[in-house]
Amino acid sequence: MANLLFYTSLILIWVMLLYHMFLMQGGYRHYRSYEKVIPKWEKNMKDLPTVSVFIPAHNEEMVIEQTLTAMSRLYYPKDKLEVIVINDNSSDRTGELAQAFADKFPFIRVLETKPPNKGKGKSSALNEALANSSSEIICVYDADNTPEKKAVWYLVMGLLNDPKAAAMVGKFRVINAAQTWLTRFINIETICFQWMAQGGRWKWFGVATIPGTNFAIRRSIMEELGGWDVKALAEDTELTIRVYNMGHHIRFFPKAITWEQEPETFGVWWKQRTRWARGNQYVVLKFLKRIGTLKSKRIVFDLFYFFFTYFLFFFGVIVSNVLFIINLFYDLNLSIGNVALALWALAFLLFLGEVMITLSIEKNEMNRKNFFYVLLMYFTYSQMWIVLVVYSLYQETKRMIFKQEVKWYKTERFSQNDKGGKKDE
Amino acid sequence: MKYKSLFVLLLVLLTLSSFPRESIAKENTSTTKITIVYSNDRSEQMATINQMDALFSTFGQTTIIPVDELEEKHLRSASHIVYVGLTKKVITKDVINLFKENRKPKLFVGYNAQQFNENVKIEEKLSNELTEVNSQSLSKKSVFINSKIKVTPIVVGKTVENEVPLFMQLNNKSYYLAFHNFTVEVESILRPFISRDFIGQKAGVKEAFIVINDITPQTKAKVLKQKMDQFKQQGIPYMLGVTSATLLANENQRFLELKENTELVTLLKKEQQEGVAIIAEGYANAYHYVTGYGQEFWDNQFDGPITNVDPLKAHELKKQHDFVSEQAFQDYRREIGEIEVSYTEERLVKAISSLSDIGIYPIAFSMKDGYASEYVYRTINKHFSIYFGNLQYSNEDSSKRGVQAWISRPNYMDRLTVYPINLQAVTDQKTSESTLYDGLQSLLQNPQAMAGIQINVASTKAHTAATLAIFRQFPEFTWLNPGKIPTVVKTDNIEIQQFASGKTTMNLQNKYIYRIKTKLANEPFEFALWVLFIIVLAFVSLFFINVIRLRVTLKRRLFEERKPNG
Repeated sequence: MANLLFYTSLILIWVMLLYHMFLMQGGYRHYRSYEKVIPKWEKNMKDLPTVSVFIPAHNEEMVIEQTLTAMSRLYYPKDKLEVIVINDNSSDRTGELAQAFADKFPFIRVLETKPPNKGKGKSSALNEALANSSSEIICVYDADNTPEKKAVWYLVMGLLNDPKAAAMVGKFRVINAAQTWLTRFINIETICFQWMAQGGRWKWFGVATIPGTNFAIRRSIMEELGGWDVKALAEDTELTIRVYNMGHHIRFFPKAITWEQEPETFGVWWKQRTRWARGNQYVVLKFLKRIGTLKSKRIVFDLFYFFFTYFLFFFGVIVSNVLFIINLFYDLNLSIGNVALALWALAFLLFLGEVMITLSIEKNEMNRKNFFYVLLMYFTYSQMWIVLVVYSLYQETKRMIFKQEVKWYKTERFSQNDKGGKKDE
Repeated sequence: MKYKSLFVLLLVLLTLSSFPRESIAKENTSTTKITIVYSNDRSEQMATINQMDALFSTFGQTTIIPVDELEEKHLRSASHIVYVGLTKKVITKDVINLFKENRKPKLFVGYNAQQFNENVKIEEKLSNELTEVNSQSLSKKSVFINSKIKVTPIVVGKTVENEVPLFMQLNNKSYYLAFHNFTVEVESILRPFISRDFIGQKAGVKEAFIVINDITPQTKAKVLKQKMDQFKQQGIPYMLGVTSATLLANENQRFLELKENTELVTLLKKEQQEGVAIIAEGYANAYHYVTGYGQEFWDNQFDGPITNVDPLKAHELKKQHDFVSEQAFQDYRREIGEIEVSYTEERLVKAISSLSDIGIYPIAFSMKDGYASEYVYRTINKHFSIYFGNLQYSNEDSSKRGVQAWISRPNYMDRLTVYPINLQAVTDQKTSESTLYDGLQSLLQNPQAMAGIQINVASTKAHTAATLAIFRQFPEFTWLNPGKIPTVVKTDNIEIQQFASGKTTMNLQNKYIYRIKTKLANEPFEFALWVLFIIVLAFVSLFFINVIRLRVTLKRRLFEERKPNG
């Protein structure tokens, strides 16, 4: 029995590791090739479409100024750009601060949410903005984001040159990476995630997931889809699947960069990531139920990948860890030989290789400090995810059984030095 | 001139390289060549022929010919001729003439002797009242052919009523043995006389050997060490009978491998380095993987040959009377034989490779009590040149068994060299000491004798001491030096050779391919994991190379984004 469990967990873990290794190859290849199209694409940037930038904001007084500062400096014809701050039931000075920018910059306006969308979370706020705007392209940024000047430009460039793309996804970087040990881990994690999961999946399968921020999508698609799903905790993943099911694709174009703030304390991280994990579990279960009706084979495969990640892989890891601990005190007569140790060491090396290659792609990220953080990360931050996924699964199961209402957790913000890129001026 | 010296050099090298093989070949060649001609009417009678084959193969090389196929050349090449008549049917004149024209010593066994030798009248009448042979009482009454001849018998027997001749010289070079089938007990009494009178064998060395057997993966190294120390203290050499796998109870098809008992492996390797010979005792010493009982090469459940590689699908061997003809039965038996061969082949290769993989090189093969058909024996002969153990004469019936008093090379086993295990160690049974003593005493009657015994590694110290004490009472026996027995053990990939000089060589066809194949066959899942390891390692290396590459090109790359704040 112990042997059967051990081999099962070994297979589950290594299927995932091998898939990620494969994705890493794709991510690296994407890095080597994605910029080659830009000179050709630049030539087509003539009849530019109108763009609305949606910034859902709920009590964002701590970060909204730096965000709007960055928005005011966006490289895009201002007669074709509107920045909409969706002030969603804020009880602080968010509306006031945003209005000051609106008074100063004609392309910035503040939209107050109204019932039934008022105070219902990000999806509802975005739907409010969708109903109160008319531009051809919609960009979404979180309220803590400070995009690079040409971020919107590149997102629009992608959509203009790739008619089959419903949405264009950019890259996000961590603005407060140096603040705490946690933000350093998150910084490494996000860089790795984007090159491996986004870049790799795009390169091999033409699949990318819409993140919560720094993406552009065609209005026609959003209208056809009927807006954002207000029940979804991970509205981005949910939207991704519906887009693919329409027969479109989403392109990962890392030239469009934004900087965002990440949780600086464990408590904030836990709440935010629990929401993400639960959101993804909700999406996986929602669409797996009607997997037969999904038209896009690519997205069926991707759904299975999410299912494998959040259910099977973590099951394998937990079983493997439990067997390891039991075997320390009681001989389980596991028949596997030295190859188990060799594979364990190799899994660690693979992790190092994958993370280091993604850090090396970015400027100044593959430094000595980060190297030691990567070494430490495998045994600390990565293990925290196991507990988190189990907890999220428990929460989500409880919600489904007792039919509880979904509560949106608003991520807490932190004060920061970078004021929308001002310091580089 | 230049080429001539090169040619001579090559010739010398060729001669030197072929020397070890020749020495083995010489060991197996005997000047005594015995042709056994037989007549039978039923296939089960082949057990008797095989028994004769085993007996006479201790004196020299045997050739077995059915009377219907006899030709002059068969008799011409022989130094001795044996006719075994298992049927009373009339012998053709041609055959009789072939025998008459040949001047070699002849032994007639069973029926029809009077047809070859008109001068003697033999009344062929079976009797089952034989109680004594050459003044030695038999443990149970035996069957013999009641004959009336006028010559003085060499060996006489007794029935309740009178004395009867059993072995006699008919005339100058012809002998008669009044049996159509004899027991092991009778055979052992007759053997010295057949050897002395018919073969003319001269007295030679009498040797003995002891095998500490039943060493399995479950044997504790400490137990084996204690047993060996007992031998070492008395200066008695020993061999080690090792089984490389054991079926674990309640775990279907789970073999506990010897390699898992590292302490025992270390001890065995140390002994091997010190010159102790290792004998492979089967692979797992069991055929039935669910219950683990029985012999490894004989189906105990049906007391018959192995009819299926999977014991759960095995069935009882059909009898000859189930078939319309003898030929149909033989065809069926051959089909079963092919299954036996395939099964035995797999087990033997496993036995050799699992031992050699951990650095233990067996020089011979053995199996529990020797239960097997000739299909198994012949397969053993393909992989081992020496077999230690008992013999089974019938392919279908395990009751027809025997053991020789000297090294034999029966024709029906493709001349596999058999070192007999003809004695039993002292046990709790009261008679065991006297049985061992009598056994050694009996072996002394033979001009040459080989006394072989197995002592179980788990037997008590007292029993071992008693066994060794009895052996010491027979100084006529010298200890066999197993380290100098020429022997070959081989599979498709490995060849282990031991020469008479004591030198041992081990050749692998292709060391790495062999190891890969072995790993794949024995542990396919682990093998797959190692393949995975190599592939992933290649990718990991590639990743690190790219890390260096990116690092080197960092300054040449353009970054549009502002500096990270971390």
